[in-house]
Amino acid sequence: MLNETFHAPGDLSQACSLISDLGEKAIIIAGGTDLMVRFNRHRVNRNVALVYVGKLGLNFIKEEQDHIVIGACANLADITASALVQKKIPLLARACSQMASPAIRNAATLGGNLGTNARNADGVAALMALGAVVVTASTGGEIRMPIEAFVTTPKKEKLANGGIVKQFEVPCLTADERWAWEKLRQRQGDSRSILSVSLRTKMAGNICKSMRLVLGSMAAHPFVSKTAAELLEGKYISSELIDQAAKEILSETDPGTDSRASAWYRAKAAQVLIRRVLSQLV
Amino acid sequence: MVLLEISVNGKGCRVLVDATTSLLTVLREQLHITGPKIGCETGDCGACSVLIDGKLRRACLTNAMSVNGSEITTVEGIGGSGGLHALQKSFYEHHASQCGYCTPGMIVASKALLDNNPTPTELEIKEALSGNLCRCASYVNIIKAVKSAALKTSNGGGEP
Amino acid sequence: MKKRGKGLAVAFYPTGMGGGGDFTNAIVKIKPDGTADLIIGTVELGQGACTVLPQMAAEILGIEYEQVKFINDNTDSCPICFGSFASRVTYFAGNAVIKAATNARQKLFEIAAPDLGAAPEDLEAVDGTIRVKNSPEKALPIGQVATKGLYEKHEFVVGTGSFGRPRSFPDPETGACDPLATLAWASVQIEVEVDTETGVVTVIDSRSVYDVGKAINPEMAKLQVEGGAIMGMSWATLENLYPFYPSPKFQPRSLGQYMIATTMDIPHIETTMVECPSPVGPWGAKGIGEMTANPPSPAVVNAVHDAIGVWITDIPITPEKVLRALEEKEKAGN
Ligand SMILES: Cc1cc2nc3c(=O)[nH]c(=O)nc-3n(C[C@H](O)[C@H](O)[C@H](O)COP(=O)(O)OP(=O)(O)OC[C@H]3O[C@@H](n4cnc5c(N)ncnc54)[C@H](O)[C@@H]3O)c2cc1C
Ligand code: FES
Ligand code: FES
Repeated sequence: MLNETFHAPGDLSQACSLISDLGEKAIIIAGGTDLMVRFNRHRVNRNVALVYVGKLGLNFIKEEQDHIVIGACANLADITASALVQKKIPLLARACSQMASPAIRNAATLGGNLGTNARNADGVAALMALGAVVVTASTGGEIRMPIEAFVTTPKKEKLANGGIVKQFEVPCLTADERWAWEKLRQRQGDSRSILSVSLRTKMAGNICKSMRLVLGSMAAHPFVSKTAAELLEGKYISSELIDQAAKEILSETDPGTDSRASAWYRAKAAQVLIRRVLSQLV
Repeated sequence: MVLLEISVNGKGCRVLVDATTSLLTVLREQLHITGPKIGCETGDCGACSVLIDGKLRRACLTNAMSVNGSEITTVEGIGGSGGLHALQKSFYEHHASQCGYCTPGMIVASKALLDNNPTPTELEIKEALSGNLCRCASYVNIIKAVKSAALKTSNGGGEP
Repeated sequence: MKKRGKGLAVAFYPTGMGGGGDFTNAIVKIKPDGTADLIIGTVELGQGACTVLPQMAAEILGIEYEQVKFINDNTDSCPICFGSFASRVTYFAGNAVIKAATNARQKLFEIAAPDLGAAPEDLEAVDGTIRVKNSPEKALPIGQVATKGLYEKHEFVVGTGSFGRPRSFPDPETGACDPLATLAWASVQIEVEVDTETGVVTVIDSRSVYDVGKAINPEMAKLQVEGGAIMGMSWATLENLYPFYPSPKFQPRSLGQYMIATTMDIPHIETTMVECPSPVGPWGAKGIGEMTANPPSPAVVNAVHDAIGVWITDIPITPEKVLRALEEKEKAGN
């Protein structure tokens, strides 16, 4: 018995009601670069209803007031190439340019990167460092939530009625803000993160006014380091303080071991990368 | 099963497919177009590279139904009956393959590069091919071949 | 801090089965259109047998490479080849092909001799013709000779050849034996850059010198060396089947977890061929199949030692191993 169905709704409200009607069977598919790996692995007929979100017009990248608004279905190649992103939130362009390989970047979306719920989701780490807000849509309406809250909220709550990630709202960097993105990987071509360190900060000379430092692949989700903010904000950034921060931030992490690296190595290397990104500021 | 209508190398095709089937499976097993190879089906090797509406994609990670209505170009559609494409000639002249398993994907990825950037630097060539693994490691000659094809086509070689 | 170092490794590598006993058979058949079939059980697995073996037959028959058809459709009906392993194909199959082609050519000489008014031993096969040595105007196209043989003389214009080596058993008293067909030699120099904080090792330069005896197809021989250079350095720095040996727990499960070098990871590469002929190889050729993957990894190990003064002798040299070794060294020093 063939149970698989495929749906390609043409607008968002139609998609929301479709997902709500389909219930548990519904699986959202965007670029498919994550989902298809799983489907290919076990080629069996599933009792699933695929809802393709690529035709919802959610691939925009636009400027609204002092934000860049990126549709959930914008692909990584378009984001990397976008003049707007390069100019206003270059951190995201850099991060996306280092994800996967060209062919995958032509398909993979930011919404999908969030949807993977992965500890090494680079797009999520970059958006988090920038302070992005996630907007979801469902038959119950739209919900807005900071991305760091989104990743830790149980699925049932954040995607009530089986909602769709609609867009990301990213505050543009101001003239007095600085950023950094460092991804440690096994090889230079097509490689997922061993870990990443990124930051968005405001500096007045060597004094740190604000600090948003994000670690990727160092816990179940990318996270914003509280220690970094507590320790560095309002302080003169000295090399002693940088060393202290690198050590203390580790207490917030829960690095795992996998084929790419051990927890031991991740802890060592994270300190090195934290020191490097902070040293660039002074 | 659902009806998929695509154009492959300029030819219209209608096939019934499962909703979770990849474009690679449709091309190879249903349409018997075997230029795109199965290397991994996890998106890691690039042997299945195809152009979808002119853009480089992994056929194995492309849900077939998600590209309903699109134009697909496989290595068979590059050059084709019009003879070898400049890139194919250049791969031949520069000994740019050993076992040849990666070659269809390399040609397609190189075509995508030159379509957008007719005069790439060596680093740009390397980046464009960074998702295409070659276990025989013919990389040095592959890069040379792409460079030389770029020179020929950008000098008005007028290849298809 | 980033530190650079250079390392050298030299290698020699035998061709064919250690201890001998292997062989390859070949058939060369001349067709009435002057082209030839090379029928042989040698498996082509990407190493280039279907290029170099027809090249060798063409050389003997005095015809073009494109005029020799390589037929290895099945290992049951085709003449036996011991296999595509031990870097043995160019050497063993090559010698067998040369014999088979020489025998087929001898048949052509015998058929053509009366028409050319010369003895078979005074003939040569050049430019698609059988002709009299030193009188190139006395020539017949090979196709014509083969047609005459086939249709008039009912002579099957075919040559067979076999090449092998006897088993060599060690002398029980001294252990002396003659186990190796021929030896190829190589020297590889690698330069690395080591990031002493992250432990990342980057190979930035790779120079290889190989004695191939005779490069039957120079471009393919060079590709083999380059492929080996890249595979060897990839093996030395990236390819990890047991990331946390002996625990099998985090073994890579896909090509996305088992890292092999991409275009972005290859160093500057230089290759030099030396041709010091083997007395027994086809035109002096030796086997350089497998060996090309061997010297790069010890050269990387030596280069890493040169750069940071620690020996990491189990490959791949992962960043983690580098950091642990540097910690050990620091402890020992204090
Ligand atoms: C070879 C390879 C290399 C990779 N390298 C990297 C890398 O370097 N860094 C990295 O972070 N990732 C990497 N990835 C993972 C993957 O490509 C990315 O996570 C990508 O962004 C996923 O996007 P997609 O559109 O293809 O997702 P899909 O596969 O379509 O979907 C992924 C998940 O998200 C859900 N989803 C998708 N869109 C929405 C939406 N709008 N609303 C709600 N849910 C949604 C889906 O239901 C599914 O669960 C790699 C993958 C491969 C195969
Ligand atoms: S088969 Fe598609 S990337 Fe390997
Ligand atoms: S030529 Fe063999 S994989 Fe590229």
